[in-house]
Amino acid sequence: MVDVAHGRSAWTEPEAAHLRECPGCAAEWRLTAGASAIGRGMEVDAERMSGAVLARLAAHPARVPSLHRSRWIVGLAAAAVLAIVALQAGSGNRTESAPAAAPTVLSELDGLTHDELLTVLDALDPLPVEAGAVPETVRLGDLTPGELERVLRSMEG
Amino acid sequence: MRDLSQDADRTDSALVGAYRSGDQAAAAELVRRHATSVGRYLVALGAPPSEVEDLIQETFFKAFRALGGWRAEGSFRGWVLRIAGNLRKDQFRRERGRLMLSIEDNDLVDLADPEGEMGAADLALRLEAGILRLPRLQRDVFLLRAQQGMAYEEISRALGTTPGAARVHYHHAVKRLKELTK
Repeated sequence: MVDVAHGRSAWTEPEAAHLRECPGCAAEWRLTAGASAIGRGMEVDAERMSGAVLARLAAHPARVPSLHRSRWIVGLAAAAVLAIVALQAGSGNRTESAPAAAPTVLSELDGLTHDELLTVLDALDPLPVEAGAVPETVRLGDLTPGELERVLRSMEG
Repeated sequence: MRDLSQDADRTDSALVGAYRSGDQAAAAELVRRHATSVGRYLVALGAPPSEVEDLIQETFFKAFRALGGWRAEGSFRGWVLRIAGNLRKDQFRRERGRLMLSIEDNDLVDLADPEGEMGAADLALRLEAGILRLPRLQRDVFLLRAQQGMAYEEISRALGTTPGAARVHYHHAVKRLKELTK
């Protein structure tokens, strides 16, 4: 029904005949078609909208850490990379029931807010990882929020 | 001179990547591509017409500011629609606060029966009113599916659920809407 309502498909003759005879399906079709039409006549001046959005973004750029904060964050990020590499290296011998002893260096991350963690991730992206220094190139930026959460939990033991 | 037609051929993911690399035109193309969908979604969620444009602008502003945290696990459209839904939810909460103030102003008649004002004779109006009475997840899934035409897989990624659960929510929404629009 959704595909037909959005013009991606059309009823076959048997389907059309069924819709005429089945009140339940006819009711569902009316709902689907009705919903697909909500706001259909709406016109947004996309050019003006995109201009306004870009102007706001220019006026309020994403937060850039201060120099002092940057140094602190880069330090933390470097420590985080080392900790993750250590975790990765040890993951082959570990089981769910007996987690490896966790490095404590990441305990400083515990106090960070979500936004601050994102800032750490942003700061981490440009960090060079020397080829051959680790078995796999792993960066915090590659982790999903869930994986990052698990890393933080593992840090707590 | 930049050929804007190139932007139209690029996928959303490619445009997001270009914007992350500093290409402002890529952001403009994403807004052009999805602003109307976002606006229609907000209308279906009951946003006052006079505030829809502001909400669309806020949606994209928040989306681009948060792009650093977006992991592209779902579609860009699903992501901005989710942001729009959250903004509308916040706005609704604020409206509710304003309504409570109005009640104190003895303006009870219109507020006590908002559906009465809508007439409710036309199916479209009954449908729109019914959608607003659905539980939130049912409403979101129903609109993303029926209004936006999204697949269950895309919906599930946008809403952080599973395709099977999205399908069940859609089924319940349709069942409830059939009752509400009789």
